[in-house]
Amino acid sequence: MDPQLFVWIVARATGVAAYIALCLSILSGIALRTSVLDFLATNRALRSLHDFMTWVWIPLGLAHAGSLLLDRTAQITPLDLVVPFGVSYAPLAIGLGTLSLDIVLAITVTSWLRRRMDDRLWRWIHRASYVAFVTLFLHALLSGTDFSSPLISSISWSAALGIGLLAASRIFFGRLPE
Amino acid sequence: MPSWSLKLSALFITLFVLAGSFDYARGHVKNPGAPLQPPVADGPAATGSAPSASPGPTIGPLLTTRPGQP
Repeated sequence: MDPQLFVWIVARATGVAAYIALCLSILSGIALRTSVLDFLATNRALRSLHDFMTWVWIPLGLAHAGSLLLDRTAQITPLDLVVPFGVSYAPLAIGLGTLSLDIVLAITVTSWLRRRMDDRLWRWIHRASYVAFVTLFLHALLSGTDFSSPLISSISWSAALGIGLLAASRIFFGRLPE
Repeated sequence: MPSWSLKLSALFITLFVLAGSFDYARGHVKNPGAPLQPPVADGPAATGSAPSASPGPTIGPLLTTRPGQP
């Protein structure tokens, strides 16, 4: 297999997988604050899953971004991985991905530093995960090569719907006490 | 459901999606339904499809005849 072709395929596959990993992370995080998934597991188990999924999406997200750096057709520079909307081709579609990555990285790092941070500040940064998901979904919708595939599209929309429903249940039914 | 079971399930789901996506992408190298269609950097290698024919020099006949000659 041609190296460029391999890089291209890896970029697509890791993009989809990173999306799913992030969805599972967000779902488990929201589930901590609602009672909707109480039937599935205790809060302790869900919290453990939520923390664990960070170590799953990070390598996938980095592989997705890294393979696009190597893909000569994508023409993405290392700066484009952190500064959104700077690419010459499809700046909005690709920039949304960069923005999502930036937000998720900020959330991850601040979570690791939670004990050293103001709790309110940490919570507000963590709430940006909803923004990160929306930008990620739009990135997938506007630039995802395989989003037109019925199977991948249904999985992606289902995950988005699940997150939306859980978020709505949290909003309308309130938070669980600490 | 215990914690290890949740983690294992989530990991399995993610790896399954990764493998499935890799297999799908390998079988659909060029997706005409993709929202982005950037100019390909290399010819057949990047897209997996045959390059389009481009006009080039043609080789003329080896023998030419003058008007009136057989």
